[in-house]
Amino acid sequence: MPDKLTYEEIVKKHIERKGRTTEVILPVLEEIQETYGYLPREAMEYLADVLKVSPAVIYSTATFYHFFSLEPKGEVIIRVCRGTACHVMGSGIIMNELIDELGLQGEGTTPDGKFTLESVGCIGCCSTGPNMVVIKDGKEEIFGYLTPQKAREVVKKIKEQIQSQGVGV
Amino acid sequence: MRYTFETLEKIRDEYKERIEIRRKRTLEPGKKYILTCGGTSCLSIGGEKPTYQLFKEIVEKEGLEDKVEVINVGCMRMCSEGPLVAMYPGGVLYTKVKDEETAKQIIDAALSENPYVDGHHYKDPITGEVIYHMWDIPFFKYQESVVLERVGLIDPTSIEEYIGAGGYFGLARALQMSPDDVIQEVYDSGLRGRGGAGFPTGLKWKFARQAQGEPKYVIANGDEGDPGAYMNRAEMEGAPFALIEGLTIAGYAIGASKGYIYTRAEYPLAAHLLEHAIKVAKEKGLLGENILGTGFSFDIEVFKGAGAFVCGEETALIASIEGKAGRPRPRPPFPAQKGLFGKPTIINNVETLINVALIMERGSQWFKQLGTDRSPGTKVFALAGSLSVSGLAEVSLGTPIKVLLEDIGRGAPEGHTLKAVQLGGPSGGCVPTEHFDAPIDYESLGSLGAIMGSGGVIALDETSCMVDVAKFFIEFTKNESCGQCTPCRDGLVEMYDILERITQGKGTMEDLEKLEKMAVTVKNTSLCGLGQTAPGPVLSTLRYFKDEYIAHIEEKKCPAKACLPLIEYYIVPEACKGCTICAKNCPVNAISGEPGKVHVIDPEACVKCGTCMAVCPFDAVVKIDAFGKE
Repeated sequence: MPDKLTYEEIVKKHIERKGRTTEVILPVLEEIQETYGYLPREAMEYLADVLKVSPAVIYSTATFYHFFSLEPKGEVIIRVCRGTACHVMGSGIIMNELIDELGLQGEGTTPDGKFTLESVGCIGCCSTGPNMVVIKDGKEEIFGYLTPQKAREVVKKIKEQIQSQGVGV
Repeated sequence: MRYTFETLEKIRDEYKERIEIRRKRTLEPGKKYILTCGGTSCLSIGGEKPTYQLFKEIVEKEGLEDKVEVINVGCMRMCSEGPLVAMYPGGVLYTKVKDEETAKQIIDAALSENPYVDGHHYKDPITGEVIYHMWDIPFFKYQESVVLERVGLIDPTSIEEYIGAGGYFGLARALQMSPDDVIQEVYDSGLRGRGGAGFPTGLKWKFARQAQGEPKYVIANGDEGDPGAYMNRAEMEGAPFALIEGLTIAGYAIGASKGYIYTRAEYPLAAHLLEHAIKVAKEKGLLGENILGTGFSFDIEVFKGAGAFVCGEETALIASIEGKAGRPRPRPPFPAQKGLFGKPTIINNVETLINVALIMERGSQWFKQLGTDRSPGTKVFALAGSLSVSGLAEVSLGTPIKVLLEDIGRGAPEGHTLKAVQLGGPSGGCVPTEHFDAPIDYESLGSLGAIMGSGGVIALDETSCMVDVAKFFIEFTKNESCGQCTPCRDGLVEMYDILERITQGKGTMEDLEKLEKMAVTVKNTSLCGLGQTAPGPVLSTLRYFKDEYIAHIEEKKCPAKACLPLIEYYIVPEACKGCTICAKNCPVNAISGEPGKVHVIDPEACVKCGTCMAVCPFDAVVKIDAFGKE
């Protein structure tokens, strides 16, 4: 990928801006997560070293928040909203439909590493639910007024896109 | 260029007319202003291109810049009818605008004598009447526009438009007063925290001003984690300068030089627009060093959370900024004494701070005219669930619940009947229809077993099972518990297990007693607000809907037919035409039958996904009780 910052550069960038303070921990981990798709162990150890804190401090934060993952996520992340409005409008059925379409046992990543399916706290589009967020190539797109069929079609379309892109590479 | 008091007035006068046109409710000849909703909800249900882009491209392609100006604004509130577009002067509202074709028709119509486009206007679900002008639509007619006044009216990226709409005059007035007088003004207004708890804002500020310790911090709490509430997102996306203004006033009042806006990772658009607004405000001398030449300096930073509901609790939020896991700590000491990095800190909800900016602009007496004596002002609610029309609704505090649900939300969609409303999210409770006359204020909702909370309003109809709703919230809070204190960590798991048993038809009456006892224990003994309020959905449904719990236990029936283990899908032979659509769509091939003959579902193979019921053109598929079926 072009001009992708390494974790050392990400840490440096935030320290330069804010100083050597624990305040950088969340923003740094967020950027590493976004860039790498997960938090590599050596990145967390590097951050601990720079901030002169125990790696346990970083690990404790990294494992507390839903947005961080210690294992690589899929190229495409699908987040089904689990907010109340989406729940009463049938988000559970959408989730089951996507589990089936992706051939998963539940939430998680497909064996080929292409898709990660997860639930997300309310995304705040409650009047247009059930909703899901699709994150692909760093771009986020929200799909509202979902039906099981519509959700399945969205995933099928992405699969086709991936396949056609794959031929070119 | 850095602004002074004089330039502020000059810009207001210069931009005033542009803004005033967007408040005109009657049609007028001349230049047209087309406002496109740029809120996340409208974007989520739009077509390939965002609505703004659709219109902008047509106007540029056809060289209509002199006749039509397209402005991308924040949330226009009536999300269920989106994507929304409004035309001024006149306030003609177009609904469901998704494609180029429609955009073209709207532009042509706007430039003609007859600015209406068939099929793209609001149709009232009760009267069937088509209503063209925004402010004639009941959804808007019954609302107040105070906090949301500028949301959906101005371009959120333009500081000039915000000033033209009266923005930054609250800060200008505050900076000409002493900090103590500013605090007194906020105190006199009677403003109470809009995050849910309702603590008097002025009092919180007094404590922080008096507290010893330097530097002091102010934080805007935009960690809107309550599922079902999204007003803060709309406020941040629609008028980011209003939040920045309010936070700057708070900083001046308590003597802080640094502020944070803590927002959710799930709200990338809000964070982006806030960061832009901060940059612009700094360039204009309305933020940063020596604001408006008064010598007061204040800086703001946007801090993004990482997906933890508990971080809405103020001590957890502070821990999160400090780089730690978001675990709350016991209070006292309150953050006003010992907060971020151990320094005096105030944390106010986004909507509270927007109210502050308005109070400083218009005075505490103006604010007190709205709402009730004990709960002055307005509150923005997010209407969702089983309503004909849904979106954001701002009303004066003290307005009856039924105004929100029936006058504004237009009741349940055809064929459905409301049975309850869930207020206040996972910390709140369910209020049944017989209490829909109750006024919405902090005290009344509390006595009904609900809370105002952040303002999530989910309407529930006969298809919602109250035990399932309670289970949903306990599952949520159980997953979001930080795990630090035993009652919340273990109590909620225990409660969830009981609810799971009940919804599977395996519960006992002893379970019900245990559930209630456990709920009271968790409520009374948890460390922070998350655990203390988490049992609310269980306690309120036990209070009003105990019969539903008992039906699950004693008859193994879910009256709403929502709990899957207790129901089966069944094809009514008399209604089935043998069209084969259900069998073709069944993902597990559980339906058998020849074309033209009655189809049958194999209950052993069925996964209860409901697809057959959704696709059957003859409504022949129904849900029946799995136990004691006839």
